Amino acid sequence: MTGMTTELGKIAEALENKQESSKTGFRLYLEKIRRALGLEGTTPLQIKLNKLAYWILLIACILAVIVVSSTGYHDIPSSIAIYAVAAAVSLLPASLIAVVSLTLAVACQDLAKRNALVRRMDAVETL
Amino acid sequence: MSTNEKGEPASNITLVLDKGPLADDAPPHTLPAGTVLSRFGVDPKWGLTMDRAKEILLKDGPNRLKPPQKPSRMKIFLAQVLNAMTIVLMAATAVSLATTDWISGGVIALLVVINVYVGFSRECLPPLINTLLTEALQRNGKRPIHSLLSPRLEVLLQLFSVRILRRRGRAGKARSAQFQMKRWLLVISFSSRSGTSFPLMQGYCLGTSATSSATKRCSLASPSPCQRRQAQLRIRTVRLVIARIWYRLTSHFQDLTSCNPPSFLRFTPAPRSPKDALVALSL
Repeated sequence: MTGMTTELGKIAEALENKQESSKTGFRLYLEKIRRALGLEGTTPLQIKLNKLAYWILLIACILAVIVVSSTGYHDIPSSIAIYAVAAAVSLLPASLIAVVSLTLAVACQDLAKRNALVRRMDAVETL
Repeated sequence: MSTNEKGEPASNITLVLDKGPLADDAPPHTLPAGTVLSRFGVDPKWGLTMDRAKEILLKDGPNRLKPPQKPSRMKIFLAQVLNAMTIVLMAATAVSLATTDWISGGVIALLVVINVYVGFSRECLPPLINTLLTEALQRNGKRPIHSLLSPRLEVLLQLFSVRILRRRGRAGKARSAQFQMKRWLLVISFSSRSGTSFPLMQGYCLGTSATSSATKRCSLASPSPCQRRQAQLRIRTVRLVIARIWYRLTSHFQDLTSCNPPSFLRFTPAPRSPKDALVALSL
């Protein structure tokens, strides 16, 4: 009894295989959508960032609609359209993801100095 | 404390395992050690004979776990791009550029590129160096090679090994690497799938920690002045090689930016004493 037939091998095989969802019907469909949107099946930080992105997108769209609505929805001048887009874009935290990635990368380097090599940056999130 | 027939203390595990009847086909880890030994016909004093070991190896195969599947580069790249925040920012870039807001669009695009590059490079390059270090540790169990590699030298090794292998067209062929410490010399050689090995880089291990005994072994603290001089010359040669590689890698960026090598690759006047040399060359 060697290799993958040992208990450790079975554990390694179980870790490799993804657990299949026990949900059925509409709930399974809902779970797939949530996974596709990144609201499930990923790390807690990524889920929070994705939720934040969707909320900001929603608010940005509402802001753009509010700005455009000031014209009464007829004969919209280009300057107002540009202003609406600028207001929506300025709401986005553009540097947030870069800051998060760089912070995690620095944490990885710090761990490497302590002889702990990290391949996936997600693994550093909860440390 | 419970004792066995010989009056020696018995472990709780043995007592638990000896209780109750166990089937002959029970897994070995549920059986007492004596039963397992008798099943394999092993003398506990001498272990398996070579013939018996070969026979078991042929029957059961090597005791090795199947390595996990490595994700492809495309999957790693898509994982960096396909998340909600990045998609929203890319949409914002597109809208900004469509409304001729070049500055906002450019800034957001730059930040997205930085984010994707950092994530991709972090998750894509380290598997190679991780594999190398793991194998090096397995081969040199008594000497933790990774403790000898400074973080910056490790980064250099990551960049150089991947790029040089790619340039030589051997990135797909490289299977394993070997780290060897020969006095001050760190030799890294790669083995291809066909079994042939080729040296990638030979250099001196320049440790960061002066308190590390391994670093001291790798330093220029050689008793002989002749050896110290030879070590200095060799280190200068290796630095020259690294500097050449650096210039070759960055030569196509020279027109765009004034890309200078990092300070630790710049040549300084030859040190006068071994102590100065160690300080001057420490990464």
